Amino acid sequence: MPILSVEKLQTQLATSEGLITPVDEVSLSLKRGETLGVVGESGSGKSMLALSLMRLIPNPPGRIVGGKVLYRHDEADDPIDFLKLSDEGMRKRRGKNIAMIFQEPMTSLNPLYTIGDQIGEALAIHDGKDRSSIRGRTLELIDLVGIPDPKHRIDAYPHELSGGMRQRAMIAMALSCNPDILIADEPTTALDVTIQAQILELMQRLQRELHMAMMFITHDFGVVAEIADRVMVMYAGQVVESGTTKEIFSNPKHPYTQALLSAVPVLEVRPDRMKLTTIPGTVPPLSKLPQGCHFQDRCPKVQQKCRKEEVPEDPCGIGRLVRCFYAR
Amino acid sequence: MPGNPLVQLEQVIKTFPLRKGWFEKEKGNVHAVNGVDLEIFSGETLGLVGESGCGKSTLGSLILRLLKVDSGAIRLDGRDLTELNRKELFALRRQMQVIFQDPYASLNPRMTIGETLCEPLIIHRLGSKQDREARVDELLRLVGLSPDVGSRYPHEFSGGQRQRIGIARALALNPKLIIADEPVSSLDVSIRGEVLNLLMSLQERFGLTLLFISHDLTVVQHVSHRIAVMYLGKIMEIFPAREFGSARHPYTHALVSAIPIPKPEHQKKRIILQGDVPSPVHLPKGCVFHPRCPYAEPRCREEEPKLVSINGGHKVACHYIAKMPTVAEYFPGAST
Repeated sequence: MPILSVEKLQTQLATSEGLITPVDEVSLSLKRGETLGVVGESGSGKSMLALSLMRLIPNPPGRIVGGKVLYRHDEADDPIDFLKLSDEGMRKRRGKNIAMIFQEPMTSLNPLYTIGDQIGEALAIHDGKDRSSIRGRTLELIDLVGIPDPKHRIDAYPHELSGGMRQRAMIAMALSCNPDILIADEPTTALDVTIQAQILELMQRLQRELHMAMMFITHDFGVVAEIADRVMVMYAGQVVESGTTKEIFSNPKHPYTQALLSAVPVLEVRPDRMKLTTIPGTVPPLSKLPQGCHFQDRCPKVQQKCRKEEVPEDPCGIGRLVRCFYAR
Repeated sequence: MPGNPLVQLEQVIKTFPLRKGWFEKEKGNVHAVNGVDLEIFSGETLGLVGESGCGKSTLGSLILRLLKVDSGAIRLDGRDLTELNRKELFALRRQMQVIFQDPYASLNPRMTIGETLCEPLIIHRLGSKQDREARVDELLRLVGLSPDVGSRYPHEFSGGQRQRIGIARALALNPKLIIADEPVSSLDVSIRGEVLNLLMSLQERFGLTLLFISHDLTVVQHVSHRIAVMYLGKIMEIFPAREFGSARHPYTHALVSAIPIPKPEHQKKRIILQGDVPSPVHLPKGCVFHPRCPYAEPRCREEEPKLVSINGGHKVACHYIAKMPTVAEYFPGAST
């Protein structure tokens, strides 16, 4: 039974170029202990999807215009639609049921408060504990995410920590109220590879220990291969393909997934320098999407039909979402 | 190896004073580049890879003489750049150009693309107005853009197109050396390949020498002839890219094993380095890598290893290199 099921979620933004739809009827489900990787290039709508699930879309200019975000703590519970909650009601869910980690720890931590204050803030809001028990729990959390010397670091300000340590502090903040669902939006993109490896290992360990459902957003197929059980590929606001990690990597069906996978450079021994495989053209701006398939102008298999009709989720009957009329 | 060394670095050292407090007192030094010996051969791409703060960009700026060395020599075509006066330097600058990381920040938003590309020609007083206009058209064609875009402004272009314009600007003066500092790091995967392919084909066409600076070993390994791995201001290992499998410095291993491989079935042993890169203000004694090195011995804490040749062009700085496994042995997945 999924802990989170999202049905045809649609988010729009009013821009100077008109109304755009960065999240276009996205459906997904997440189980406890499972990691869903969301891959896409910039402008694909993956971060807007995360913010929509958290109901953190700034309004105006943004608005969630349709769909459901159903959360169910236990199988016996009736599902709660996050989109139907009042602002106050949603605030009580954030941090406690669903939490989020952002890409750039320096801009998402408050420079004027110690990391201890910031990790403890959610505890004070949700659990209303007294100061000494908050401090005790904060120390536990700092230790849990592997920041050395918690007693000393609890009083450190963000600028006193390295990028990797700041990201650990962000993770501790997100985990402070034992959320069931963790959304991580490019949590390792700003980090060096050796530090990225540490953070990925940490997140996998914590997910296992705390039995959370995780949605991991990234543009890096390497990271997805390491961390995800299932993968969702987004392009220009839509999910174009989803499946298990194995299906996506060994048997990609959508031309975009195929092109993207072959464009990812792989570290290997080769006799000489090699040309990289490329995808012609660029991602269309969301304000100027073509009619029909969003990928049509870059697609090697494009036909007349792709330029006329909206593509349903699985027109070829593959048994999973592959938004292409001519997927084989 | 193609050609003679175009660039030679000898024991190059660069430190920056660290100032703190109200009166900006000097509180020690940041050791950015810490005794680097390096050669870049004519016509090759040398990939310089390392994590943030390792000094790779500082090294690039030193070669361009945007920064002055504290000590050591940098020679371009045999002439020591560190000793040139302003006038000599001005003439020599024509031979070296740079491509920056951020194509949004490195183009002047108030200048048309044509003006941007024309500027180096005006500064160096090359050709008549007509010649310059023709050159701008030619440059735009070279990088795969239509000459009509010359009258447009940077904001009208995508990231990939802007980086093409950055490449055109670097080519304007027919330089011998181009330093590309993280040229594709801010681009999406689907755009990255095109820019890299363009860079490689222009290099072959004009016989350019390229210093390709990046934090991404995968990209470096794709485009380079030789690879230099840098850590805390030092070169740890240099090897021909085709001999990537025989790389054997423990830091190179750690870098390789930290890179996520886009193959889920691929199981690999992984060395996860503990801790962060030490501060370049207080460099570790002995080998700078020893605090994070899984193989460190007492000697590594005392004595600094020299960069020595172990096999032709393959040089390593490690006391115990004979004991280290190669990347291919240790990480079979890397060699397919």
